Amino acid sequence: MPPEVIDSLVPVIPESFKNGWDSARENFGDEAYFYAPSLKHYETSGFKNSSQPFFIPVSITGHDCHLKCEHCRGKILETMYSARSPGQLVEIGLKLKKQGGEGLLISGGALADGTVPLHDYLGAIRELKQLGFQVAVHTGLVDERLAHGLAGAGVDIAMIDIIGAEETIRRVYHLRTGVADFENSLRYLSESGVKTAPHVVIGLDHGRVVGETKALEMISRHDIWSLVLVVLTSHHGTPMQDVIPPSPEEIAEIFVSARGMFPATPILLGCARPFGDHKVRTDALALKAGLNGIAYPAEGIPELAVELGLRPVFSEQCCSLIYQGNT
Amino acid sequence: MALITAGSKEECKWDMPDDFYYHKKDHVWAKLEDGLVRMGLDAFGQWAAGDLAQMRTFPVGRAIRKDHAFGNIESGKFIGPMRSPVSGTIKEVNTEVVTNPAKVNEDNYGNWIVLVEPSDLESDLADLPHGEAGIQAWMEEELNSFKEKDLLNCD
Repeated sequence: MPPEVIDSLVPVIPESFKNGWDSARENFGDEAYFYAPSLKHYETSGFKNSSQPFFIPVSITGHDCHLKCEHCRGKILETMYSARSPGQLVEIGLKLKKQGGEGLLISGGALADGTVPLHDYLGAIRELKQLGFQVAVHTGLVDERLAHGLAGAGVDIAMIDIIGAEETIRRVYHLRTGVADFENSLRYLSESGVKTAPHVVIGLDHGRVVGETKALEMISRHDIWSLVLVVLTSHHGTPMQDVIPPSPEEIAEIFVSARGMFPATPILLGCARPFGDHKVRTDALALKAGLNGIAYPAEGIPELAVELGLRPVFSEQCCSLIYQGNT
Repeated sequence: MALITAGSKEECKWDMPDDFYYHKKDHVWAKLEDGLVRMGLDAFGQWAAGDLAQMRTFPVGRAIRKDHAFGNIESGKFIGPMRSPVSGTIKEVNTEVVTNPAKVNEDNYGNWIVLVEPSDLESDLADLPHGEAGIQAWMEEELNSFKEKDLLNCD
């Protein structure tokens, strides 16, 4: 194991992280939450998710996405269940119920304007809620009508990527909209009464940290349930496949800023981030910076949490749902 | 060679050499070579895991046990161990593959992962799928399990 990885696993809080660590303990206590929904098979020495589907990702556009973002090209959709009609979505829900599953993350590829065609699925989402599921929706851009529709359908959490740099929106997402459209979407969701979990992708613009702080500032103007930070993970076979992501230390600067800006809001390190040693170091820094939880923690991270005096809590639900349901 | 098929899609056809042995759960193949065992991921295993982004193995000289991890892999839809079909000691690690695990997706039988000196070979091989009939029977069960979980999208 490289020395920098070994160093990251030493249970000492760096001086510059102490404010965040103290504020997290004061506001949230000593739990560290770890998540492994059924988006992927997950098995480490300390935590393993069920072999049966429990909290599953569903794409309402199948593998189709018009945006073809530079880092993804729709590849993330290939790992999801496909529901090309509201009826198929309900069918998936009924089957999941029989298998003992408890939740769905509904998303899809975007249309050319950055929206996900969720309007037609609101009735199906309502049916899923009546079946007793937790429903998370990753929305894309929304208007007021869709925000109210999602609230009326009873979704438990609405997730939306917030981008704080105009050039990133064009260069990576290929959208002609602006940062204001992302903030307005968050505003509509928040004002409609839906719990929201905005996501910020650190290093989204070809590995550079450009609009992340601005994105956090935009988010701080709204009432949110949780904040999810993820890290650029470029998929194989995309134009950004060889892009180097920000270093764990650069990422940790965003962790520290976010903890300072959102002292009383749960902050999670979400599913997407680079693998291997980078992940170990990033996850360790997330714990030390006082983030509340981590999805798919690297090997050794729950053990580090214990050494830091925290109590690990494991869950197979979506991390943005922290403090709802099991955790 | 056992050819396993699960539907009409070309990607749902997997070659499983019938002179190899297989770890049933983790789809690790084992090929006997002059008293040593070369190991890698089988065709179905690499398909199920998807594009491999990260791989780690124990170092040369490390003793490993049957059904216990000799390394782990990470991809967009899989984070977990690779369990060994046999007990023994790692003699060689294919560092080219470990540093670039996507090679396994390109050629999963050519790009082996570790070479092991076995310690209890005869006993370890006894319950491993081998030969066309044995591999077909094991994979039929495996495909049914994937179908029940809606993890096979092959038609």
